[in-house]
Amino acid sequence: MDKHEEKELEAFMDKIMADAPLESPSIDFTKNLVQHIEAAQHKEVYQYKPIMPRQVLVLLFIGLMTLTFYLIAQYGLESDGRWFGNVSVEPLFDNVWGWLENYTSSKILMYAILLFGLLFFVQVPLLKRQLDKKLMLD
Amino acid sequence: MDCCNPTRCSVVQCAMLTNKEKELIEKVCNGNTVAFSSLVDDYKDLVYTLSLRMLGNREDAEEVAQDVFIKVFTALRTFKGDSKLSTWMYRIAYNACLDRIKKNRKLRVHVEVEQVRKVALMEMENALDKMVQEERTMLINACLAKLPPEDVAIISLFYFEERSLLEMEKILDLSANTIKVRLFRARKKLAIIMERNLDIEIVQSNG
Repeated sequence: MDKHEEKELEAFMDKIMADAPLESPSIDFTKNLVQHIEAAQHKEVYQYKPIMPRQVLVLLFIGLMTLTFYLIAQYGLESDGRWFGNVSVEPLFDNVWGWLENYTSSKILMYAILLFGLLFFVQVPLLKRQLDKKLMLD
Repeated sequence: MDCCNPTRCSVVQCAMLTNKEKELIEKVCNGNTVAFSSLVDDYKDLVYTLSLRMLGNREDAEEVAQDVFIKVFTALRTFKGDSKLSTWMYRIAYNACLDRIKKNRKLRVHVEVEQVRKVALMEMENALDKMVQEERTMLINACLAKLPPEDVAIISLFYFEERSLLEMEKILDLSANTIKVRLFRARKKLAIIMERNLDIEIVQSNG
């Protein structure tokens, strides 16, 4: 195809494309889009961010593990009196918990305390879920 | 262009942008969604039309157009202003469509680039002139839908960008010469498709 024909083809396309109007998306396209963006912005506000970054936590963990292994390697696991073996902690607790030795309680009180403890732990996930719902506003 | 500082969303000095665009960009960068709505309204038809022609499906086109504007909203801060705002948006839209096509793996019919008959163009013009506007638009849209996505994109962008090869270079990441060659091949393909479709139309109308 020579230059002249190329020009003719271009002119023909100009004519065709002038008759190919722009299409429009749905009427509420902009509204939905802005709602989507605003919801995403809201989410960002309540996004969970750890207090300590992951790297710091990993470093702390590695440090702790290294220290533990060092202590085990240095002093061993047996309580042969070298590490905490010489430290006697029992007299320290005698004054605090000594009164418990002579203390007796009824079975009802024991059950009540157990039930209280149990319900306390049941409440934790329930409260968490409720708070999450309130804060996320999703 | 160094006049524009992307980190501060400072596009005030950029010659490529109109005053209205500069003002809108500043506002959008500050999280103003009302200003963003105005920006979307200005460009949604162009972005949607490009997506529709490339994907050939209204649902996909609307989804991609939405993704494009979300990206525009989040990345506007990084817009350097070294091209027209529309060019930058078309580039995002074009790449988003290519990604979607890759994902869908739907290929359109391959069109061989063959010689368009000399008389065919004249015949086609006459046939098109005889049609009602609505019919003509429908036929043209149907023919555009049969073109491979890259070809329909290159033809559409040529007219969206007011025939500026310089802007098209930025969108397609191709040299002006390559764009010229591709544009020529795409035009030829469209002419062939139109010729075939018009033949069918004429045969059908003759009974």
